[in-house]
Amino acid sequence: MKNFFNNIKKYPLIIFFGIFLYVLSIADLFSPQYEFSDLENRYLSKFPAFSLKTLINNEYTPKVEDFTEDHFIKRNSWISLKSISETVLGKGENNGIVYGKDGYLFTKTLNSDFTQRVKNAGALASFIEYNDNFNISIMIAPTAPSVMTDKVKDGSPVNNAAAVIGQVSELAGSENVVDVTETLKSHSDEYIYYLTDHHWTTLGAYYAYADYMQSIGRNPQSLDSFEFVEVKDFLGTHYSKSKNFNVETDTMSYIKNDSQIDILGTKDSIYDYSKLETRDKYAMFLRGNNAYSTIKGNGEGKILVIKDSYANCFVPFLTEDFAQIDVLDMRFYMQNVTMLMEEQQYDQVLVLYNSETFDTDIYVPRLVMYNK
Amino acid sequence: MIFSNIFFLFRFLPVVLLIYYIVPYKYKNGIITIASLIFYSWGEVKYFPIMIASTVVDFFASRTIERNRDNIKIKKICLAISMCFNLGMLLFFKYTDFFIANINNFVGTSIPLLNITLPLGISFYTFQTMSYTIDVYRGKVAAEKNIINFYAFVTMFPQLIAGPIVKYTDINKKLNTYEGRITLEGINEGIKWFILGLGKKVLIANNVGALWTDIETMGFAVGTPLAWLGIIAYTLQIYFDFSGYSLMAIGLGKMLGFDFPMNFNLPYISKSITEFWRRWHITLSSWFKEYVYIPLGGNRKGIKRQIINMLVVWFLTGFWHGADWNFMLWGLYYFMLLTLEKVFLLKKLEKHPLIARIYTILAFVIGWAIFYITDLGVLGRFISTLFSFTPDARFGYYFGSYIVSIAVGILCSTSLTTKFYNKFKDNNYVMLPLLFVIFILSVAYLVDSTYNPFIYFRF
Repeated sequence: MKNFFNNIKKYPLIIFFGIFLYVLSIADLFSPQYEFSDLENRYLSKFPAFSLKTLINNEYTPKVEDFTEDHFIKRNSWISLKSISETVLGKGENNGIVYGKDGYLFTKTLNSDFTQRVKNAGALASFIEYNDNFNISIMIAPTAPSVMTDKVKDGSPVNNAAAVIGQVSELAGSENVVDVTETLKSHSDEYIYYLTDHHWTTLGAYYAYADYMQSIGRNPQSLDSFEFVEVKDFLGTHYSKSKNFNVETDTMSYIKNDSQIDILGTKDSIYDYSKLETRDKYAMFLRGNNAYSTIKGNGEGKILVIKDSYANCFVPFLTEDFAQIDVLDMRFYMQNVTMLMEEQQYDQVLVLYNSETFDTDIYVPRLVMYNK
Repeated sequence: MIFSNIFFLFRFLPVVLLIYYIVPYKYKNGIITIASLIFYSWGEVKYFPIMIASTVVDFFASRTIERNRDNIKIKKICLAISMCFNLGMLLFFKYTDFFIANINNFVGTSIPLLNITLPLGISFYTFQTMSYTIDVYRGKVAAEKNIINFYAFVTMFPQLIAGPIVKYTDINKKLNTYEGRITLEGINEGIKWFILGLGKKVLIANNVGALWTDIETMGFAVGTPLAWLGIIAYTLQIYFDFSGYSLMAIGLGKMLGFDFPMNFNLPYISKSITEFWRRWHITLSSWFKEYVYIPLGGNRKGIKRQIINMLVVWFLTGFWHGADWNFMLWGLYYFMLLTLEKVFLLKKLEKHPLIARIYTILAFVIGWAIFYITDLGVLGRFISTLFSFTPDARFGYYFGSYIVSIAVGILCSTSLTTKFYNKFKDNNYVMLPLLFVIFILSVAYLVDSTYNPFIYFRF
């Protein structure tokens, strides 16, 4: 034994590697396990339940591997280390997020296949045709890279909103499309998109709201009439993916609004303030994404908003203009939309998607799924 | 299970090494076998019996050959059984669907595909067990008497799923050695190789490979500069992935006390394709040489016969890499280049080292495009993009993102790495911090793994 110790002293690599491997492995076994990763804003994988079937289908062991990775000791520090190394290498992206200038993060988009875009635009066209007795407007909100063009590094693989809007105009008729790109561009020196999140800011949504009101021949409320409340240290969905060590945090804002939202018969404030304490702060707006909800406003007429989450901070602006605002999320709403429209006799219908969702979302065609 | 994985590094490896080192020598081969079977089943539990069957057939075929050394007939029957069984399985699992699809295509039938998933590592272990039976048949080596030792040889987890193709004669002495198999020097060496291999795979191959994956997502429809950047990235990815994997295998082998043959020897510094193939996937090329090319007569029966023999070998080499036309094309492409070199080119290349290098690099880079792109129409368009001059607005972005990784990759493909290693390998003040940084960074990339492919699934 003494001989062994004398010998092994000659091989410090064995000692270091051995200690490192075993200390880390054992410490990992006893390190605390977290259900939810605040950094990544997601539930970490659970240890899979064993069954012979999952084992034979090669579904069990990959989950054990995922679990080990997700719960590895000091996971967040390893993630930061990787991020630092990637920055040193000059990498312009991580995990599907492209780095822009001045702290902007964008969704990486490599489309070469636009079938879903065409399908969705086609669905909107037949939706408009089928419901020609209604005033239907389509707003494809450009995402940040198409507006904040000087924040995008040359040649970055990002979404091109103009192409999406062009496709929609072509199929569904440009007279039905409210294109807010130019308006937003004219305000591109303002804080209209979050750095770390895929949404526009509440201010950005206001400019789109003003454009929309004008397009239906009404005067928008003035910007001064809204009181903005700021929420510091917001880290959005893009950061949850990129996890870059040198992130700049956002300030989220919402407008003061006392309206009530009715979700499946439960009435509550249109904002879920408890979300402000969590990572997922944007989920406060309209209390997240719900299939069908209805808001009582102080204005006149009824409007239906068919939307993705871009509308969540947009809809509060409408409460002074309409008496009733109904909100549909086609990802969750399975009923016949035309039937709802006829029953409610809406004065206005607004379809609001951002240009990235519109390219990939598979639920837009549900709008016409009951059409004969 | 693959080596570049947190579960392997911090669960499987420490447990297996601990048990392996503390059990008495007579149980060590048993531990290797059990550990390897778990390792294999982890990735492919369904096909585990197939691997066992392959091993059993070759074990008993070889035992029978050994006991009937003087009976040519029995020897031949046993050899034939082993060949038919191994090649039969390989053909069935790897090529059936390819043949069905092509029959459907050419004859117009609609025989349904079997949709068989390829058993993990089948191309590697069938070659291994075949070479063993052939060697026993030839009298080069005595048949293994102990089935556990034989299992340990075939299934030994470091080399089981992606090579190197270890022949029985490479490790039979160590398999039957009990004293002195494991040395601290060997373990020390093994750790070094393992960490360097891990770094090659995780830090270089995965890093540059992401670029090629993007280009594939774009349907290979890119402009000329991006096409070159992409194919260079893939050239680096396949080398660092494959040689890194082999190096990890060799390192793990050394930790267990075995010396596996080298599989890569700086292939990208070659000055001819002939040389390239002496440096790339060495265990595969020497397998084909020893068990196909030389038995066919090699170069001993005149130049015409030699060229035919080369054609056979390169057709098989191509087809071994995957059941698709492009792999055959890839094999024939190399057959053509090697034949040209044999007939006249090699002599000319020797006189112009610079031209020789450029030619060789171009040849294997184009080769990798043929190797990767299975759709021959897309392949044709991609290669013509390489030699047209179409601009690409996305080039700047990708250049900025990947140029450092690519430069590191190119630097590490040259003999600078071996020079550095030979100079400093015993200098702990250099090696320890270097290995530490490589290991720590690799773990960081594995914990946050957004891209960590296993690229040999078609082999």
